[in-house]
Amino acid sequence: MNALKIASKDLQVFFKDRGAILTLFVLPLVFVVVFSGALMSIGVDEDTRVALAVVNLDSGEAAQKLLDGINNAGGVSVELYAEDEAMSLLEEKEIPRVLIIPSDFTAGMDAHHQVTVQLINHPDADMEQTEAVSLVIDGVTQDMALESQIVASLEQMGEMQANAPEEFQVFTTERNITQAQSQFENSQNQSLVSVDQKIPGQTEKRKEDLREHSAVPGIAVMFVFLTAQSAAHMVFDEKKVGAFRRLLAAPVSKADILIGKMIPNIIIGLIQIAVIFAFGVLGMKLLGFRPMSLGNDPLALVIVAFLVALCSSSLGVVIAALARTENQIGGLSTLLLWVLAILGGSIIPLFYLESFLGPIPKLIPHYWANRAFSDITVRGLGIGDITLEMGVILLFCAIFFAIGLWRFDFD
Amino acid sequence: MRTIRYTLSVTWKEILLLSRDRGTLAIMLLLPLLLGSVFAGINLQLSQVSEEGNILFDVHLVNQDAGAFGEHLEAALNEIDILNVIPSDSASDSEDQVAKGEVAAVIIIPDSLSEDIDSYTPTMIEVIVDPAAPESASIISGILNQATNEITIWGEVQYGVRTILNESGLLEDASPEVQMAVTGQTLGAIMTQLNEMRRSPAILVDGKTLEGVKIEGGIEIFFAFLFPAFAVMFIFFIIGISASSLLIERETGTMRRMLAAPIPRGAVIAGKMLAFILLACLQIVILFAVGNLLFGMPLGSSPLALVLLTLATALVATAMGMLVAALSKSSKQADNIGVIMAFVLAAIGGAMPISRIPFGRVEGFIGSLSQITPHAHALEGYYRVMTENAGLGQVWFQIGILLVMGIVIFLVATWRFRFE
Repeated sequence: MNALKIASKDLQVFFKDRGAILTLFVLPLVFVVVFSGALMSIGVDEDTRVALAVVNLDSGEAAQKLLDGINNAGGVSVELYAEDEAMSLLEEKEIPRVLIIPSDFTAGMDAHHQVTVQLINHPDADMEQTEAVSLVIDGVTQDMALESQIVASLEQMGEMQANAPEEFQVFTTERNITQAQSQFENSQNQSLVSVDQKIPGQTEKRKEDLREHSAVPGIAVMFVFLTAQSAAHMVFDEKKVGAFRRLLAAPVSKADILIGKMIPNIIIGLIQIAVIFAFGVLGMKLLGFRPMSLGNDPLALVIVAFLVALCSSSLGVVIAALARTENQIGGLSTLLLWVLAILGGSIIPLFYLESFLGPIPKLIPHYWANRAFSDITVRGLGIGDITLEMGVILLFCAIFFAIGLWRFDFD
Repeated sequence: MRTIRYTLSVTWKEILLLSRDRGTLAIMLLLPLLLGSVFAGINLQLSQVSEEGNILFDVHLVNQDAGAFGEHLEAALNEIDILNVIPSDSASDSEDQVAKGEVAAVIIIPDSLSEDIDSYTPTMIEVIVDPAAPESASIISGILNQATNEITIWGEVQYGVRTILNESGLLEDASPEVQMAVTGQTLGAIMTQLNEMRRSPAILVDGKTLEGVKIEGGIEIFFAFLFPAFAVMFIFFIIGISASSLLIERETGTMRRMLAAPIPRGAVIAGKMLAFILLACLQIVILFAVGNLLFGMPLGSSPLALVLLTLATALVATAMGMLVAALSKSSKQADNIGVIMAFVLAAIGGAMPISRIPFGRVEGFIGSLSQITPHAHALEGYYRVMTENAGLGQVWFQIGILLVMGIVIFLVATWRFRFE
C-alpha cells in the first residue's frame, strides 16, 4: 500500500516532464521507421536506372545480345556513343564510365576464344554505382559465357567423333546451337530447378519481406531498458533533496520504498511497449506498410512486456545504487545501456554477435527479452515455448533487485 | 585582442569542465567508435562470407531424393564452410525447430528432384527460414541458389545431349540399356569439358580507371560512408550538451558572475562554442583514425577539405545548441530537446547508416527531405573527398551551405538568448 502511494506520486512527477516523455515515447517510433526500412522506401520511383555509356565496335549478333541483356537486366540502361566522343566526355567527367565492346567480340564468341570487354571508369566515379553496374554486366556476361561454353563443349564432342562415318556424327554445330539456344530461352522464363524461400507454416507462394518487422521487438527492448536510466535519475534526484530520509523516518520499509520507486517505471515501460507495438501495427498501416503481427498469444505478450519492464526498472535501481554522481547516471549509464542493447542483439543480428562473442550475449537481459518478444510476435509462438526466456528474465530481476537492496544507500 | 583572450579563457574553462565529465566524453567518443567498429566488422565479415571458415548457421537438410542430383546437392552444401549441415529425416520436425528459432533454416530436397530433372520438368527446392532472422535467411537462400545453379546446368546439358542424340536417330534401334549408357558417357565427357572451360571465363570484364588502374571497389568505400555517418550523428549530440551547459551556467548564477566581470557577452558564447567545436574535431579524428587504420577506410587526398568540412559541421551543431538554449526554459528541457533533435536529424539526414550511400544520392522522398539537414551536406562532402578524391573545389558548395546554416542559426540564437 505504501509502495503504491510512493508510486503514484512518482508517476505524477514523471508526467510533468514533457521532455522525458518525448524521449521515451517518440524516439523509439523514429527508430522503428528508420530500421524497418520504411524510411528508404517512401516515394521511390520505379525507374531509377543508371545510364551506361557504351561504345560498340562490333556490329555482330553477340554484341547486340550483350546490350539487350544489360538493358533487360534492370538497373542499367544502355546509351550508345561513338568511341572518340565517349572518351572525351569521360575525360571531362561528363560521363562516369564507358563500356567498350571490341570489334572482334562476336567473332571471338563464335570461335570460342576468350573475349574481353572493358569498363573504363573515371577515377572519381561514384564507386557504389560502379559496383552496381559491374554486377549487372558480370551477370549478363556470365550467362552468355555459359551458353557459349556449353555449345563449345558440345562441339568438341562433335570433333571427337569427326573420324566416324557421317551418319554417326551427331553433335553438328547447327544442332548444338539450336538446341542450346532454345534451352536458354526456356530457362530465362523458368529455371529447371528453382529455390523457394518460405517461413514456417507458410502455405501460399509469396516471398515475404522479412526485414520489415523483425526490427520492432529489438527496438522496443532497447528503449524499455533505456528507461532504466530515467528510473535511476528519479531515484537519485530524490536522494539529493533528502526525500529518502523523510521516507525512512515514516514507518515504511526499505523494500517498500524501492518497490514504490520501481512501480512507476514499470508502468512507463509498459506504456512504452504498448506505444511501440501499436505503432508497429497501426502506424505502419497508416504509412502504407504491412502492419506487424502481434502473434497468437496475447497473454504471453502481456506477461513478457511486464517482465521486461520489471527487469528494466530493477536495473534502474542498481544503477542508482552504484552511481556516485548524477553525471555518472547521465553519461556512463547511458553508454552502458546502449552497449548492452547492441551486444544483446537489439539492433544487430544475433548470428553475427555470437560468431565472435560466443555466449556473451546470453549474459545480457536484452538477449532474452529480444528472444521472448521475437518468439511471440515474429515467430508466432505461445507461452509454453518461452518458459526458459521468461525464467531467465525473472532471474535477472531478482539479482538486480537484490543488488539494489543491498547496495542502496538510503541516506 | 582582449576579447580573444577572454574567449580563449572561457574555452579553457569549458575544456576543463568537459574533461572531468567522463560520462559525456564516453558517450561522445566511445559510443560512436563502438557502433562504427561493430557495423564495419559485420559488413566486413558478410562481404567475406564465402571465404570465411567459421560456422555461422546450423541448417537442417531433408534429402528425400534417392537420385544423383540430390546426392550432388547434398555434397555441395556439405562443402560450404559457414553452414553446419545436419541431416534430418522429418521435414515437419525440422520446420518446427526453425519455427522455434533453434536452427536457422531447413532445406528440403523433394523426392522427385532427380526424376524431374531427368524428365526435364521444372522442380523446386524448398528452404524454410526463420522470420526473426532476416539477414541469416538471405545469406542461406543465396548460398542455396548458387548450389542449385550447378545442378541446373547439369540437368540442362543432360537434356540437350539426350535431345540431340534422339534427333539424330542414331540410337533408335538400340536397347534402353545401350541408350542410357551412351547418353551417360557422352554427358560425362561433355560435363568434364564444360567444367574445364568454366575455369576461365569466355567473356572477361576488365574494369579499370582512365589511367588503367584496376578497380577494386571494395567494402572500404562503404566505410567512407559508415564512419562519417556515425561521426556526424554523434557530433550533433553536442546540441543537447552545449545547450544545457549554457543554461546550467544561467541557472546556477555563474553566468551573472561572468557578466559582472569585464567579459563581453559575445566572448562567453564564443568561448563555449569553441570548446564544443574542438570536441567535435576530436570525435572526427578518433573515428576517422580507427576507420582508416583498422578498416582501411580511404581518406581522400585533400586534408584541408576534411578539416573545413569538420569545422563547418561542428559550427552548425554548436550553433544549434545555442539556439536550443535560447528557446528552452530549463537545462533539462534543453538536454531532452537536443537528444531528440540529434536522433531525428540523423535519421532524415542519412547519418543512421541504413543506406550504403549518402541520402543525397538516394532516390525518392527521403533523398529530397534529407537536404534540409546539415547532416546530408556534411556526409556528401566527406563522401566526395574520401571516395572520389574531391578537393576543395568540389565540396565548396557543401562547406558553404553548412557555414550559411551555422551563421544564420547562430544569429537567431544570439538574438533570442537572454543572459539573465
